[in-house]
Order: sequence, then C-alpha cells, then structure tokens
Amino acid sequence: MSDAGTCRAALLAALAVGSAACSQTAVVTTPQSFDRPGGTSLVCFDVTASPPVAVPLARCAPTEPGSSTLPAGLDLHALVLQSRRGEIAVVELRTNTILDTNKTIPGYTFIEAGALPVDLVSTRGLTAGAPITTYVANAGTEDVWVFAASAFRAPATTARAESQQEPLGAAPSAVALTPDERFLIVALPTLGVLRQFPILADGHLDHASARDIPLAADVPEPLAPEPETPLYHRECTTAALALPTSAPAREARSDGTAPYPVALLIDEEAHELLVGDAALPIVHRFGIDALAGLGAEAPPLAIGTPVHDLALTPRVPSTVDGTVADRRYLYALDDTGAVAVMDLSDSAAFPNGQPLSIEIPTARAQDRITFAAPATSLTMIASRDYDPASPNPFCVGENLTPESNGPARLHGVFLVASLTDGTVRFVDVYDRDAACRGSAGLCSETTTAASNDSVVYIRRHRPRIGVTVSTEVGVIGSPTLSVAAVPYAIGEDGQAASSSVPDLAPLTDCAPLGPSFVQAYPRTDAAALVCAVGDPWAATQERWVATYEGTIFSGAAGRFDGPSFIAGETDFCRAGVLGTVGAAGLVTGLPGVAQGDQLVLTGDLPPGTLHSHPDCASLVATDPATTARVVVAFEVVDADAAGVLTIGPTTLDGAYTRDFVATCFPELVTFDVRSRGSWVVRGAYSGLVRAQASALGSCRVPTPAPENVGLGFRAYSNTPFVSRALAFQITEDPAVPATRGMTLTLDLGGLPAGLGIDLTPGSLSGSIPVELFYSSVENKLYAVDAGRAALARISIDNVSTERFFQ
Amino acid sequence: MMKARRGSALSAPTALLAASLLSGGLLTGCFLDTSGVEPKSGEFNFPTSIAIAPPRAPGEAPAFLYVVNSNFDLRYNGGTVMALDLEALEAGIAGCGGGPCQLHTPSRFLAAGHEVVTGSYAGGMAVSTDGTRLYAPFRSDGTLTFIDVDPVTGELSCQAGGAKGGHCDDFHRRGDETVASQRGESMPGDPSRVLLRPLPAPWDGDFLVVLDRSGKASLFFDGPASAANVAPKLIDVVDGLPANAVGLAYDAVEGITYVSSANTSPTARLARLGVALDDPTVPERSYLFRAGEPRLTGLDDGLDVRDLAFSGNSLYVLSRRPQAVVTIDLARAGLSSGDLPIDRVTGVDYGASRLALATIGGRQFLFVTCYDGRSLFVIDAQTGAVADVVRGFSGPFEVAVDEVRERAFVTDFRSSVVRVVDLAPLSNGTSDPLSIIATIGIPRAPSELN
Repeated sequence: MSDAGTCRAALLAALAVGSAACSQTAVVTTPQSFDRPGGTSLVCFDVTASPPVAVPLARCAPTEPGSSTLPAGLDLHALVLQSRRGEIAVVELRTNTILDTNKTIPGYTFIEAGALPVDLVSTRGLTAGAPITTYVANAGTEDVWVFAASAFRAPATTARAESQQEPLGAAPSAVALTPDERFLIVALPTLGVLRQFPILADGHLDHASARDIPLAADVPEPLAPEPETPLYHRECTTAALALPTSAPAREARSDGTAPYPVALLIDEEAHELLVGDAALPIVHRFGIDALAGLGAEAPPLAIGTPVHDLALTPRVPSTVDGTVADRRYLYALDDTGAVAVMDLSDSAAFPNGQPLSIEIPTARAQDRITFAAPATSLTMIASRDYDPASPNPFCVGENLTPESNGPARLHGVFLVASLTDGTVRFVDVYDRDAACRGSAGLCSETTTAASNDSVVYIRRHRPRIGVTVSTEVGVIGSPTLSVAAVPYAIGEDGQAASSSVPDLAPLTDCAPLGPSFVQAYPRTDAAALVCAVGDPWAATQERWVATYEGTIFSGAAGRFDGPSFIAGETDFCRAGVLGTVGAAGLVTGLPGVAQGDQLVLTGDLPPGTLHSHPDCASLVATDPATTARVVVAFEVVDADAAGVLTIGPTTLDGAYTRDFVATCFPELVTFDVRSRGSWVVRGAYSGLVRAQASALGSCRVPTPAPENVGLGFRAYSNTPFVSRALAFQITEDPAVPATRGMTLTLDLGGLPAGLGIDLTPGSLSGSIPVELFYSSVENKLYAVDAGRAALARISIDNVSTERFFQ
Repeated sequence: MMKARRGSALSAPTALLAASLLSGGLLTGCFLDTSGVEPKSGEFNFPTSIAIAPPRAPGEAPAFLYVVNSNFDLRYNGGTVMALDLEALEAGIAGCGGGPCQLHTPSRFLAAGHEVVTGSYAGGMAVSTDGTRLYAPFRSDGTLTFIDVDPVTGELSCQAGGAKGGHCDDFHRRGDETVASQRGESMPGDPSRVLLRPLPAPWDGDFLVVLDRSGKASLFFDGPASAANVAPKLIDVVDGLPANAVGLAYDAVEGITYVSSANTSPTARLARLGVALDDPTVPERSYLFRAGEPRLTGLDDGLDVRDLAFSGNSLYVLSRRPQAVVTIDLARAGLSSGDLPIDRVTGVDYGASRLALATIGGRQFLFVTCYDGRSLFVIDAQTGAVADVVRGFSGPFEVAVDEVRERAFVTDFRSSVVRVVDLAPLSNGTSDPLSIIATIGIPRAPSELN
C-alpha cells in the first residue's frame, strides 16, 4: 500500500472506529464466579451455629428413607476447586448459594488455596472428636494445604485458622483418605510414588512420619477377555441379539516406562487402595492396614492401556431377577477415552483381574465401553433404592405406572461418564426396573408391569438406552437404485420402480450372516432384502451407498513412469486397491476371475501440452452422448504399498496407448482408482470396509478368502454382499447390465438414543466436563464443567439438569 | 465515547468527535499527498509476530529475536521488523538485579541496520532453515516480503545492493508477478499465516505456504539457498479452503499441511494441503492440492480453531470452542471414518490465540497465549497437565521460546511491548511459579493513541 493510501486508510479507520463506538450500547456483565473449576468434596455444616461449623457427614442423612430432606439445621456444602485462581469455592446446596467470603471485594471471593489446586478430600468425621478437615493438593506450589473445614464458613473478618502447608517436592495429581481416616495418601506422578501422611488428632499431617511408597513398574500381560456367564441383560427384540464372545488378549501398551499415578480409589470391600497409572497399563493395588496404612503392593490389575480414572461398583446380582449380590466390577478409563471392565468378583482366582469381553466381535473393541466422544471422568451411582434383596417398589402395586420405571429413571447401579463433547452418559450395571420394562410389546408375556416400551435393550456394561423404543434397527424408508441421478425405489418385493435398473434379491435368512444380524428391510413378514446389525450398541446410524465401478481412492499427484504409474508414498494396499493379479484371490461366487481395478485420469492437460501435442485434446474431450468427459482408464495389473501401480499397455477401450497418454501428461496429474465389474460399498461414517492385506508389498487378499465374505467393500451382482455391518444382493439382468455410476442407497437408522445429559446449551465458550461425583445423601449427580465454569446438579430420578452453579 | 440515539442523525457531540478525529488526522500530517510519518526506530507498535533465530551451531544459544510490528493503528507509514540482540537483552535483564525488569528502550538491543520498514498488518513470520532470510506477508500490500539477514551480525537488508535497514523495496515484495508458467495467478491480499519447510532432496531451498483469510493458500519456492539475489517465486495458488483461515501447521510424518479456521460455521473440520513436487528443473509444474477435511467431532463444538502444532503423531489444536488445547493422536483411528481421534482436552483461558511447542528441561511444553484472559498457559505436552499460568499481560498474542536460555518472549499486542517469561522453574525442580521477569518497551494503552 502506498504512503498516501496508508493515510487514507487511517482517516477512514478513525472515522469508522469513532462512529461504531458511538453507536454501541453499554454491556452490563454479570461477574462470573467459577474460574476453571475442578475437584470437589462434600462437607456437612450445622448452620444453626454462628458461624456454622462442619459436622460429620453422616449427620447430613435424610430424615426418612427415600427422602431428600435433611434434618433441620444441617446443610450439605460442596467445596469446588478453582484451579486458575488457586481458590476453593463453597456452595451451599440446600439454598443453591455460592458463598462469597468477602462481600467488600467486588465479585466473588473464595478461600485461597495454593497455586493450581488439582484435588481435595474431606474427612467424614468417623473419629469422635476429630475436626472435619479438608486436604487440598496443589500442583503449582507442590504442596498440600490443610484446612479445618469449619473455616470455610467463617466470616472474612474473623482471623482464619492458619492452615498447614505441607511441601511435597513434586506436583501431586490426586489425594485420598484411608477408610478409617488415619492416613492421607498423595499421588506424586513425577516421582512415581505415593506419599502417606499419618493424620494427627487435630487433623494436621504428621510430617515427621510421612513415608514414600514406590510403585512397581512390572507390567503383566492382560488375560484374554472373556464374556460373563450368566450375562445380566433384558432384551425384548424380534430376534435374539448375539452375546459377547471371547476375544484375543490385548497387547499391553505403555506410555512410558516409569509409574505415573493419577487416580486413587478406595476399595472398601477388599480394604485396598487402587491406583490408576497414566503411563503403565495397570492399576496398582495396595492393602490397607489399620495401623500402618498402606501395605506392600499386591499384584496389579492388567488393564492393557494406561489408566486415567477409576470407578468401582458395589456388589450386584448377576441376573435381572437375582436377589443375591455376588458380582462387582472395576471400570478403568483408558487414555483413548474408552472404558475397560474388570471382573473383581473373584480376586483370588484372578489375581491380576479378569478383563471382560462385553461386545460382539464386530464392535469397535470387544473389551471396551466406547462412547460417541472420548470420556474424561467416571463415577458410580448406587441409588438409595438399589438393594436387590428387597422388592422393587417401582414394579409392583400402586407404583405400577409406565412413568415410574422408564429409561430416565435410575434405580440401581450405573456407571456415569463425562465426555469431551460436553455430555454426561450412563452405563447399565444393575437396573432394578429392568424386569418391569417391555410390557407394551415384545416382552408382554414376561412381565405384568406397565411400561411404554415394546422393544427393550438393557445389558450390563453397555450404554443405557435413553428412550422407550417401539421399532428396531432397520432401513429408513426404502432403498433406492439410481441411474443418471434419478432414483428408483426398491419395493418390498425387491423390484425397482424401473426396469432399467437392477433389483434386490431376497436373502434366505439374516441370522446366519453375522452376529446380531436382523431383517432391516422390509419391516414386514416378506423375505429379507437387506440385513443389518440389530444390536443398537454395535450398529451405526448412517447412509450406505454402493456405486457400480465407484471410486476406491482419489490421488492428487501421480505420474507415468514406463509401465507404471507412481503416486508418491501412497499405500495402495491400505487404500483397498487390487490389481488383476491380486483380484485373482477374490472368491466372488461368480464364474470366472474377478477383475482388478482401473486407473482413471481426472486431471487437466498441462497448459503447454496442447501447443506441442494438439492430438492430446481428445483425452479431455466431452463425450457427446453422455456430455461427460471421456474416460481415460487403464487396467491396474498390480498395486503395492509403495505407491506403484502396474498398468496395462493400452486404455481399457483400446483407444490409446499408455505411451501416448504419458506423453500428453508429462507432469503430475490427479487420478482415481475405481473398481471394475463390482459395486463399491461405502458408509457415510464407516467409510470403506477393507479386508485386504499386503504380502511382500503387493496388494493381495487373505488366503483362503472366505466365500462371499471378506471381500471388504466390493459387492458383485447376483451374489450376496455380506459385510460386518449389512448384507444385500443386487440382481443384475444381463439384458440390463449395470453401468458405471449406478448407485444403491439405503439409510440405516432406528437406533435408539443413549441416555445422556447435554451440558452445552447456554455455554458460550464450550463445555469441558472434567469431574463427576454422586451425592448419595441427596441422590443427585454433580458434574464440574471447566469450560462453562460451572457445577451442574443432575437429577437421576428423572435424568435432567436441575441447576448450574457458576 | 458518547452514544448517538439510534436512527437519528449524528448528535452534536458525535459530530464534534468526528471533526476532531479528522482534524487530528490532519494535524498528524496525514495529507494524502505526503509520505506519512516514519516509524520511530526501536519502538514497538502493536507487535504481532515473533520468532527466534535458529542457532548458529547445535546447542548454541540463539543470537537474535525477530519482532514484527504491525502498525495496527496506521499511525506510521509502515510497520517494522526488528532483530533484537538476545545476548544484550540477557545482560540487560541481569542488570536489573533480580526484580521485574522494565527495559523501556528496545533500541538498546537494536544495533544499526537491525530494523527495516515494511508494510502494515503482518500475517505471520517465518525464518529460513539456514537463518539467512525472513519472510512476512503483509495485508497492506498483499505480498510476501523477504528480508535478508546476516546471521552473524543480525543486520537486516531488503533493499537493492544489500543496503542495511531502511524501507523494503519492490524487489523484496513478491506475489503480484505472473509466474513463468501460464497459470497467471497472484497471491491473495489478506494473508493470515506463513509456514516454511525445507524442500526435500534433490530440491535445494525452502518452500513457503502463505495462508489467506479468504480460504486460499499460496505456494512459494525460494532457493537454491546458496544463490545470491534469488527471490521467492510464486508457484501456485489454491482455493476452496475454509474462510477465515488462520491456523497453519506442518505434519512432518505425513508431509501434509493442516489448516484451521476461526469460522463458527456448522462443520468442525480441519483442512489439509499437500505440496505436489514435480521436476526440480521446472518448479512451476509443482502445485498445492487439497487433501481432505478430517472432522473435529466429539467436542462442544470444535469450531473456531486458532492455531495448530505438531509433535510426532500428536496434533495440538488450539480451540476457542471450547477454550482448550485438544490433543489429537494421529497414530490411531478416530471413532468414525474421517474423524480425528481426540486424546484429551485441556481447558485454557478466554481468547486462546497462539500455540508454541518447546522443550525445556527435557520435557515438551505447550505455550498458549490467551488474549482476553490476559494470560499464558504452560501445559505439559505429554500429560496435558497445566504446569503454570502466567499472568500480568495486557493482550498476549504470539510467543517464541528460547530453549537454551529458557525464556519465553510474548508479544503483548494491546500495550505494544514484548514480555519476557523465565522458564527456568520448569527445569530446575523447584516449585517456583513462572513469572514475567522483563518488559521490553514502554507499555502504551490504546486509549493513549492520538
């Protein structure tokens, strides 16, 4: 810009700024209180005292069973860490009030803690006479601050009791109290140790008697995951869903060689401390002794992946109708955001834990609970009414209403996970209402309860379905077969609405085609034309498109090189490309050998080529019959993983030689690799399902290739196409052959939504749930949202967000 | 500022304001026919980009700190690029005796010939692999300016004959010439970022990708490195990228460039760019191509991504929705085809703007500037844990890290200074908090500018 231009711009800018500023209205902002909230702890206060004093947590128990009403004068408070400012916010839960400790200072003023507090824990007052004490671990100042919990309600004018600040020499990640509250355990990941502090009578830490407990670095190989028998489930479906099967043992994966403890969990039944390790694929275990605290480290639980969080169930029955609680589980959040399940029911038989297979073989991972987004934290709900030995009050008598036992009513034991997408999700462990469900349809013969759902999917360790279901998984509407972008519906008899396109042939039976395969279309008693996975947890709601001679791979930069076409370092085998040589291994069920793929040039001629070789213009001419560009395609004789295609000496139509085309395209050119004589089946989210392997760098199919199965994404006319997601058979009349570009489209849907809470509405800067905790006293779930800077209270009796504290 | 009633003509106070602005512009000499006011030597004026010179030998402390002043308020007839002497700066900090250091005169660290006058509104900066050339695109002239650097003395030259200092001449502004091929393209006029990578053998030199807010990108080649009087050459321009493109990073594992957008459009995606290298003897045959748009799903909501950084198979995404650093593990598959696999989400402050990756004390850290939060987040790249939050900024924008001296240099755009943060506590095993140990320049609040 010239200097004069700069001056002009300056004047205009100044005027623009001035006029814009003058037209703005004042913005009144409400000061936000929370600032990167994190760890939480509950404390009971006697508010009749002045100032209120912290009392044993057990005193904040409901006055009557099943009630949420606390005794008069007692209020439950939540302590919420504010990591950015290094403070502790106090929230009085009964009055829904965030307490400002100093009203003379504008905005909220909280209790000062150390820099970057990461975790806190409060005593429950188990020892008579001992003060209720809160311990805050600070990563910034690398210390633990000790507070008399009553100080959190002391007025600002009162000199606050000086809190002990115990230096650690390293940044902590988590704190925990032994069940008898005689010891505080602090995880120090950079040192790879746990530090144990005896707690003195006044609640202070006994610095002199502190000791470091190193964590072992031995990593046992995890066992092969096995399915549970019997399996806790209740499913009301037209066809039985497949059960989980044994899975191969997971190869242990570490993220470092030294222990890195990040999560602490007390197992009160086993008197153990469980330690999640973010570097090693194990959960450490330590016995807890009343006098000495932590004992020697026990054999670790082999999870197979590093662990970021832990949750433990109480004992639960093994079946829906069971009354004996004989099973318990550990859930471990791994570093991919999925959750491993470990059966701890018989720790003597499996000292390193028995990983469970919870999914069918076609699922993403058989030994993991996976969600739509990575999970960030876990907690366990054991609702007040979960006792399996007592009759379920919601399934009998006057409580027998559809509304009392729907999917949003959580009566029992459930795992809860917060996800990176700002939602909170629930996983079934023990649903006391399971036997009540399904009376409106497919389970009407097995229950006298009343419910609104006719289809029921309840299975332990699976995300909970959040809606009443009346239809199962299937094709939405009808499949269509298109030619020249004109769609023709496929009727329930398989016939297309036009004789100019192929039809769909009936499949004999869906069940043998794959685990949990059900009839997806038509949804009548007519023969199945499309089969799909009916398991709502394994299925994906997406559009599937099969394109005749469709594109397998699109490349941006390839060049001719003698008999080859080279495309940099493209792994054609991984892309699914097969040359004629490799395609010979395909078992299509059709006579003859399957054809290899074809290379199609899609780029323009280089600008200078037409001047030097005017006859090259025919390569990019328009076909007057189709008004599309002529197709310059070569047979792919062979393909490899190093980006090399061996191509035929002439184009497929014989019109041009390879050498001539190479002369016309001396530079890099864009290209497609398309199938030949087959349909390329692609899911909108699943993509191409590949089933090929490379041997010695060349693209080959596994041998022996199962008949009609394992072809990956290639469907051949007049032979069933079976993949792990769906199955169909296109029937092609020789008088009306399939033509390039024909597409079969079908939308698989009907998947019931999972039960969840969305924390995102109203959040201007995005939700980042970081912690969950369950208040058994109130029977409420709390979620800390660091992005929204809020604490959400969630009702579990009818899952919904009650309130945000922020 | 006084308010005007909506729908009414300018009120008297507003008209008076407009008149005073106009007269103020006249008083400052902003006649349309004058050359404008020369930037004051050694003064920061809305600094945006900052970079550390590559070390002259492995392990050696870098010699110079490059700062681009954007001239955001257009008070001068151009912005400037400075080469500050880092040794002299360290000596200046040491002379403060340990307390927070106010180094009011940046010219103390600017020798003669260490400053050149350029266009205004820089869209980033890049340093050549051998440290002998700086590149910065400017919105004011819609070109890529290159500046030759003497790596020993730090002198800057962007004039014919190698004269040091002064205004950059037209030869050193590239992008509006037609390339030798028949593409007839020119560099778009709203550059936002620039990225430089060495060309692979048998090529000799570097390639640059200049990102444009309009959703375009330009490819330049510069080299061979040993040739004198060689200027960067515009090779190709590609469009079809997301509008409001502001983030640019190179994946050395795949050889693909990632582009992010500050748009809050419905689809949370990153765009990918590839460089197709053809015959080295005919560089014009090479080109940029779009290589897909992986989805950034599983977030609330993944839109408005301001910066990106790579380390091996880890991609770090600096997002404003949510306000976080999102770590992507490219070694594994996403939940669905086309999804980026999220490892973790680490919340930061409001106005997340720029991201830098550096190794201190053997550990890799992410440095995140939060413009509206007025803070610098320091995050352990491996664990995602927040190591510290440094406060005391007015409007931190870009950060460069001297790994040898363990210093972070942050352009504080809002007050036109550069702040220096001591990073030694990250490596010396103490629990001392990170803090600003020096401020270079005199802080100037925007309201003071008349």
